[in-house]
Amino acid sequence: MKNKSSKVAMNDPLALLQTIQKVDPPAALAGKIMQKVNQQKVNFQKVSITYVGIAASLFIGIICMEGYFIYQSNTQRKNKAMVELVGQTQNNLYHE
Amino acid sequence: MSPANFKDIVLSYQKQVYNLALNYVQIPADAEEITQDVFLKVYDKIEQFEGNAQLKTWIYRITINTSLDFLKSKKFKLFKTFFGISTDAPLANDSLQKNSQHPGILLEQKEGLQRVLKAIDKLPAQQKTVLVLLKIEQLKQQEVAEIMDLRTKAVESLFQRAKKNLHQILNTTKENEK
Repeated sequence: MKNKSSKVAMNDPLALLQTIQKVDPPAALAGKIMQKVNQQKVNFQKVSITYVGIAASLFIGIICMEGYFIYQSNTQRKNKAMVELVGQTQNNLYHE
Repeated sequence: MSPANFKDIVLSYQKQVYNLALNYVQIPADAEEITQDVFLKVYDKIEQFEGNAQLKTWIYRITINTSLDFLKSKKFKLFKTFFGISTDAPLANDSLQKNSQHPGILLEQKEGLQRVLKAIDKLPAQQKTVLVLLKIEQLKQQEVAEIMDLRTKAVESLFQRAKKNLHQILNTTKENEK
């Protein structure tokens, strides 16, 4: 801090600003900051696991849907073949 | 970056960050909150720090922006509380209403400084920053220019405008008190 007489400082607001002294931060501040940093790292890991879980669920869901569609199309094909096997009736009368 | 290395950065710069934040918000608890936010941001973005500027300058910039954002959000909260929009609890340590609780202010200067700091609070953000950096932090114009990403001439002109506006605000306050 610069040594200025209080009289000068009172007249000049800018000189008054220079009388503000630097203070030491609270002793526990660095510890709190490091705790928050570590907490943030844990949160980030938690979020990552959540995202991985969501992505895995989506992937499994897509595989299941694919399986369902394949099953459906096979069933439809079978049904079509069965229909073709049944003899078709005609409305023509026999010529006796 | 390893936590041990980051702790070294915290220990080296916490005083600088805490004091600068205190010069903006004037309340130790708020300055502590800002300091924590600043270092979380530094930790998040340290990989992006390109080294074009000094680490000190970069941390100064983050502190200034965080402090100004803090004041803005406090003003907004006050506005919401005033108009009954907010459902939040009322602000306990409101730096915008109460007098400065800056522990670095000498008792004999307290009254005068309260007036000056209140007047500075009414200045636009850039003018306020110039006064804080040049007069309270007592940095050189070149350093201030680097921190604010301006030319030295621009810093000088901002300072002159800030000085003029500060005197005007102080005179108006004096006349109103009479």
